[in-house]
Amino acid sequence: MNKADTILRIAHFSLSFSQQHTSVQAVDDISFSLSRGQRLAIVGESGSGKTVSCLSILNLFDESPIAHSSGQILYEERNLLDTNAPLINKIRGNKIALISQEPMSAMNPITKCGKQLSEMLRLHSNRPINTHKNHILQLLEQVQLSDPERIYQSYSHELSGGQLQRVQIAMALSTDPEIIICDEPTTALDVTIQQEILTLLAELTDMEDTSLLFISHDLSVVTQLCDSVIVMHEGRIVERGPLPETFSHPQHAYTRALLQSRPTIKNQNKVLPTVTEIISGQYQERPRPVRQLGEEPILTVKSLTKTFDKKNHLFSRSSQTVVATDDVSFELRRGEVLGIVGESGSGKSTIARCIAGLYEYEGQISYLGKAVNPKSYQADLELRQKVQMVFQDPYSSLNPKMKIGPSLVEIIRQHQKVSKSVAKSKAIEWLHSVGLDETYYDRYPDGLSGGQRQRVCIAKCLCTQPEILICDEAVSALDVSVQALILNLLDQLIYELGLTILFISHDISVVRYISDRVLVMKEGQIVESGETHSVLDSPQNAYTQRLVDAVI
Amino acid sequence: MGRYLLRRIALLIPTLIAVLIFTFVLHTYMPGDEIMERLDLEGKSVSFDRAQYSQSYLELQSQLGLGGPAFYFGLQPSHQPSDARDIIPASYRQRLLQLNGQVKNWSKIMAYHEALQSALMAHEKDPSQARLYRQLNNLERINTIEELRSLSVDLPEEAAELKNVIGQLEPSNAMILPSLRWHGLDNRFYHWVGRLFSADGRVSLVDGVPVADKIGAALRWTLSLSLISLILAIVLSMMIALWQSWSTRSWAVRITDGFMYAIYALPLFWLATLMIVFFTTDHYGSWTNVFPSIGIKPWMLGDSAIANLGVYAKQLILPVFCLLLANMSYLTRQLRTDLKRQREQPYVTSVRAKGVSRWRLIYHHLLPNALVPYITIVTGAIPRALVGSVVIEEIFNLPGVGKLMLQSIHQSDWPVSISIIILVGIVTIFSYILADVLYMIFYPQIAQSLEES
Repeated sequence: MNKADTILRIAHFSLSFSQQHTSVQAVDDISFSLSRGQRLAIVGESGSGKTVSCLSILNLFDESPIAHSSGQILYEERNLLDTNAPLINKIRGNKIALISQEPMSAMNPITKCGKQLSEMLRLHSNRPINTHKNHILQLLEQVQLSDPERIYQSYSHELSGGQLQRVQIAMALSTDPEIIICDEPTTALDVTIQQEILTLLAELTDMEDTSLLFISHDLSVVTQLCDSVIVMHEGRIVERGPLPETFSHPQHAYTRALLQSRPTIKNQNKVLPTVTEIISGQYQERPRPVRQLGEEPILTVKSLTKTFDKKNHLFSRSSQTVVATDDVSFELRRGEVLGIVGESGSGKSTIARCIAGLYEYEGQISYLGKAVNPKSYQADLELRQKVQMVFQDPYSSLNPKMKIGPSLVEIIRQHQKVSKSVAKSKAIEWLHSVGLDETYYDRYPDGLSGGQRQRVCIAKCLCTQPEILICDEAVSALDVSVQALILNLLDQLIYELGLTILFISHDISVVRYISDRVLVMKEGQIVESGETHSVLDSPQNAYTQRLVDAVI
Repeated sequence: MGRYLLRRIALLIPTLIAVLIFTFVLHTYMPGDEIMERLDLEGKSVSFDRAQYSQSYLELQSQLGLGGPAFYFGLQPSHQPSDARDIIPASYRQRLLQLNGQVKNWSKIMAYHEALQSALMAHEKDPSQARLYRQLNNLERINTIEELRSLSVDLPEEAAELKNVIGQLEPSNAMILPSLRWHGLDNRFYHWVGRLFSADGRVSLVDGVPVADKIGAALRWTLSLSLISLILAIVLSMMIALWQSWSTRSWAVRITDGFMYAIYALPLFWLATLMIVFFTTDHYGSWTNVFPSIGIKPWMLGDSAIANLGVYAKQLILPVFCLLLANMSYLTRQLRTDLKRQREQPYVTSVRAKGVSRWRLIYHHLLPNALVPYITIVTGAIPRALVGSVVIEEIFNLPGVGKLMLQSIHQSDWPVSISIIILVGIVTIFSYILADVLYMIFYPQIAQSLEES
């Protein structure tokens, strides 16, 4: 890396957000540079300041009255932090483009994709306007979209996440920028599509020698795509270096912690180390608790079929039916963890909701020989008590206006006739069992981290003393370190309480770590099932093979 | 889109029927007896020959279609008659029905009614029986069995038959089930609707002027008042809200916000009254007296339309300004909030990263997205503009639709008031259709869900 090649240099950059009386230091004195053709990754957990620093490169906080920055971001000898609006607008999109995380929400919902693409050309390109459409159709073809004309005429809600991310890539490439900033571009996508998008990005940026600044929390994605890496933790850069050397010989404890706390094959038989344990040097390898697997089925699902009708109105004749699950049968044995993997739309969550009695269905679901009937379910408290569900997003599944303790007490008193004080002491017991102390009893969910919230959600499920816990992508929204904590907690709870768990996830490595048996689903059907290791280590089905291959 | 619109327009029919039924109910329960008023006008009063009065009353009643049951069908307690409209006056009928509520036997009540009436008619012209006649007259006002019985003790021998009939009235505690009765076409609602659309319903009861002419003349004022102020309010609110989101001078934005809030909170009638005092009188010096005094100059038929408009314009400035302030502050605050909300949407980051200017971001990306609630409010204001300006019309003494409505209600001029209600109903439906069309134009997602529904 010689100096002439450097196109972007960040020097002693800091950024803080002031809120009412406090100020939060989001980025604290970071410096790095990016050279032509380089693919630089910035990794870190949520709140590490990685996204904030990258948006600052485009000076996107210039209108925010609460953001205060210092230091320099140098591009073409110019400090972007104090460039005036017309000039920076010549750089945004034109020289430095952005591909953002959620393709669904990154597009203006009421403008056709074609028009949004051509806006980019209108702003930055000298081509005559009547050639714009042709150019855009070429770009759409370049990002391997099969029907460019249709995409051109579509609104964002008519396209899938993968298609939209390709449109965003096409948009970023349309002006031949020197740098593309990718803010977790594949996080919201299915694994197989993630793979395709990464390959596409690599190919296209190689052709033009474009530099890539790739933000991600996913270390394996980064290893695959980038040539060097910066690890950020609490607003600071803790480690930097070339890839894959940095990850194979991590110097800083935090990098080591990130790498080791993932549920990998190496960790299969160990309690997962957590980030704090590794940083403080207290981690000691210890074996996972052994599960008591029963043979008797606790829950049987027989030819479960669930279809969704698009609503019909008085005057309309047409009706569309979407088949979410198609003739699915399996059984859940006492004490086991049954994993269900599949991509979005494969019907995993539908199964969970049918079992929890939230949907009406065709077929049979029986819990200990007793049919799960969604219509009488409201009355059938016992069944509801025995099957509980942990949802994906701990941020939206807690009532923000209700303190944690009372929300537990409410549930306990719903199912058991006990006095308030008894219920309170029980609630505190359950908080202890998920690793939270009694100070949490009087707190609102507002001040809690994602991991703490998910613990509360699990405690809420446990206080009905369930037999079966359904985890619907329960760790997918969490950072690696928190994920490890929750997985360890589940492991321990299975051991202590003899829980049976239905674990739904799109993340193969998590499912491999936690489950005893696994079902692979595609388009509403089970394509493969069996012992976790036999299925995932030597997949028989082509689709399973693809899923497993997509995980590095 | 076409099919959807057809369906929406087809909805006009059930809606209109509902509006008709609603106004019919209101009309029926309005105090006053139209037939009695008409007979009074003809110089026939109740004190006039009893038999003849009731005959002419009943004749007029059937002529106007005001007799018979209320609707095509009815659900009533089975002991109550479906129709007692031939018993007059209404207050006496009401008392008979109350008595029937105690006796629960309509034929006995009818026997009592006939005996009482024949006795009344027999002794009406006889001065020697004046005391008996007063006694009988008094019986007409009784609505409980106990009282009726105690009074009947005093009746002389001449009314022996009546005494006998009253003796047979006995309170009953029988359980009465409701029964559903089919009345057929000969009902008041049916005749009422018929009258509404006949020549009778097209002329004002007060001065015989065709209803269409009256409403037309009033519409000329209301439309110029409401439409001008609404259009100006839309334009101004857009300009102000856009400027507010564009401006970087936060103090100026905050002052405008506060100003809009203050106007929004001001009572309209108070502002209007102040303006009248200030601008149309010499109270604060002659220099403030720049507008003609309130009220209207008639439309000069001889003069050209432009000359007339000139006269109008000066008179409309103050009321239009008042309505404008009210509408504008509301619309501005709404659009400003929605623009702010759009500014926080995740797509804004990616749009800004494209390098669009501040103005382009606001005008091309935020504004179209923020228009959904705005469209809802603006189209919702259209039916209100028709009669909602009644306060302003009253204060500035403009003969608009709101004022006409109020007047016709005061004067029991039902052809006018009911026509206005129906007009407002139709305009409301069409403004909803307009809102849907605008959504379809601006919002592909909404269009899709509307098509599918």
